[in-house]
Amino acid sequence: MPCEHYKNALIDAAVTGRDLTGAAALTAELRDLRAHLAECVACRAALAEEQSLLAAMDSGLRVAANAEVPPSLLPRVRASLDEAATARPRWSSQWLALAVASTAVAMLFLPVKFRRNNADALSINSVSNLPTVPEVTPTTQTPSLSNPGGRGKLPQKPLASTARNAPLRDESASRRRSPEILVSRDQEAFLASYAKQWSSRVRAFLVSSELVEAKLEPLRVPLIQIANLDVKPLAEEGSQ
Amino acid sequence: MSAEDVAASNQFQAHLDRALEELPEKLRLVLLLSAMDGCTMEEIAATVGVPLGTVKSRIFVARKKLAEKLRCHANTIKMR
Repeated sequence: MPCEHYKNALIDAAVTGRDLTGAAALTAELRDLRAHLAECVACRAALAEEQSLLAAMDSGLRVAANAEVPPSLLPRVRASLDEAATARPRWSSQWLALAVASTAVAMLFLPVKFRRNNADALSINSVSNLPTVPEVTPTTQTPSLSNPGGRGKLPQKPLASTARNAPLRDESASRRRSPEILVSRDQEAFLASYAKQWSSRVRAFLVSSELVEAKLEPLRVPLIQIANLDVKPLAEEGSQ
Repeated sequence: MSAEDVAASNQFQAHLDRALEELPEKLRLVLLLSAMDGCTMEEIAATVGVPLGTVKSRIFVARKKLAEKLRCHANTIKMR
């Protein structure tokens, strides 16, 4: 059993493989250790045991680090690599075919969808629905739910979140299409009429654009036959 | 070398392999590289991409930790 004071120093000396007996320049700590080893048998034995352990460890490490590759390993690795290389194109070709097919389908249907979306965006039907937005606000419905008797003048908050969220859930789809714009009551009618006019104009524009797109034959107008004018000289008129 | 010595050697090697696996990756790497024949400290530093002093300190820490694990193993064998 080594002395507790020199235990760590002994281990460090064994790990570093420092030669304590030689005349090499040592630090003060190592000089102290060397002086202690000269007179302590237990520490000398502990150091020898530690050095033999580390020597066994080093030889084991050398075996582990320089282990020869078995001759059968290389052909096996090469075979598995070849297998993976042949399997990969099959997988990628399937996905490539699928991607090409899906792209072709998308290219077929995309223009149709794009045209429909354009028509939807141009129509102002969603704007004409704006006057219905104030109807779903909780302030118009909550008095019947929270205050059935109609007592109290202050506006009541809705009691249940379901009562507040139910109408909102119904119109969530339409809100996703058009942004919610809150306007006062007097402006709602004006906006609705404006939206109606705008919608009819846009429809007229769309109809006219469809007509323009259609191949029309040039209008054939028959030549106008203008009869010769019966013009009398001024002198003759003056004499008469 | 007797059969007991071979068995003890095999047992020691197996324990050493297990102890190596328990070491952190960066310590195990430099320790095994330093144990390879003809691999210098400078080459290890270039391979791992760390300074030479870091390689030395990592080897020191790795050897110390490995020796500690092996010492515990040796003590358990002695106690049997």
